[in-house]
Amino acid sequence: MSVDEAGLVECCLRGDPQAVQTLVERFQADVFGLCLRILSHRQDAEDVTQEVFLRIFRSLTRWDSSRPLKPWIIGITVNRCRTWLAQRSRHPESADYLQETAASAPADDSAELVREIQDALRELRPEYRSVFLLFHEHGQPYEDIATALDRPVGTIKTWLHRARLEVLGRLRRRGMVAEVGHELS
Amino acid sequence: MNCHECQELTQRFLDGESIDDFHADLDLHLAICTPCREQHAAGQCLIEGLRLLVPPLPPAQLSSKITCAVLTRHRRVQFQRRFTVAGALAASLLLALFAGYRTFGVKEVQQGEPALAQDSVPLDSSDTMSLDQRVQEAGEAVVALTRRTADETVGQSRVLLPKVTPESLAALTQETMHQQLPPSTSLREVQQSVAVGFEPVTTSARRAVDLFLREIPPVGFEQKPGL
Repeated sequence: MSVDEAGLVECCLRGDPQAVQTLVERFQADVFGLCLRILSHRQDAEDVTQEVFLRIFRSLTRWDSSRPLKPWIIGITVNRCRTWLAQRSRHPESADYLQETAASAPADDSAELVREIQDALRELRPEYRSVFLLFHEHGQPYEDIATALDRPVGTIKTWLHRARLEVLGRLRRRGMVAEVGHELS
Repeated sequence: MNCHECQELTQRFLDGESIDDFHADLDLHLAICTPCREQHAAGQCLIEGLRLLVPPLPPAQLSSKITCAVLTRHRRVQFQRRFTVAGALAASLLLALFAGYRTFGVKEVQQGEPALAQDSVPLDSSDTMSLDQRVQEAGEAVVALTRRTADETVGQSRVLLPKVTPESLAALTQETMHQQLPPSTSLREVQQSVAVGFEPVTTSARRAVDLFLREIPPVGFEQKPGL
């Protein structure tokens, strides 16, 4: 936890508009990126991002100031996305708009690899996808992911391993990587 | 290095850990083991693809929109909180006023009633009185108030009634008795006429009962044949 974060939260709790703006701008990329990767839809991601920040500011008094702010925010984001996905699965007619949401793809030969990885991520189970993204894209350690998802560290490691296997399996099926004699243990 | 150790190193590589210390052994094993080499290459490909994965950028106006929504909600919550506090204060004030009115308003009314105050124990001595004395005092006050109210009501209703003197009362009694004689006479006549009218009926009924009683065998103890 940094003193900067604690002071920023104090100012936000007092309703300082500048502090609110600062906090939103500091974390909106992480929150929106995670929402977009998990939900695979830009408009949904924007809506959920707004809901996440409303929830964050409503719960700021419950934030443990002895811990860093980012894992706490990531946890709220993942939980909100999970809830949103559950609601969307109950209304499948609204899920037909899922589309490619890459902000910008590389222009060289690796574009196909990136696209295949994105497609593979989209096919993952939500919990596997969350763990994979939190670990590989957001650089969160196992312990923080476990805290955010409210699961044991061993479960997180298992989910991440399975997610990697599924992504690699898709890449092999699509010819992006060579077939191997034995899988990762 | 065997395949198992190589797979562990690949996992550590995927976890982002440094495997530079094992680079020489790893290269030796990968040179002689095709499956491990392809597996490690797949891991490297995945890490490379993830490194190229560009994080999506949020829309330009998103932060302003979120900030506006957050501040709007913050103001609304503050307003609701202040409104609640103000309402609670107002309710408390009203309660205090009502309690004060109940307490001090009743004393003022009692002090404004000299007749009741004379009947009851003086209020100044209430500090030294026990509970029984206070209850007794309250009871006496209620009795005095009731008696006074009843007297006033009776006095007011007397105005509505005609004035009654002994002479007028005697004349009224004689007149009433004189007027009541004819009805008593007529009632006696009605009784006689009803008795005459029902006489044939009663005579017939009496004869029928006599005949019925004559047919009934006399009641007595008879020994049954089987006994």
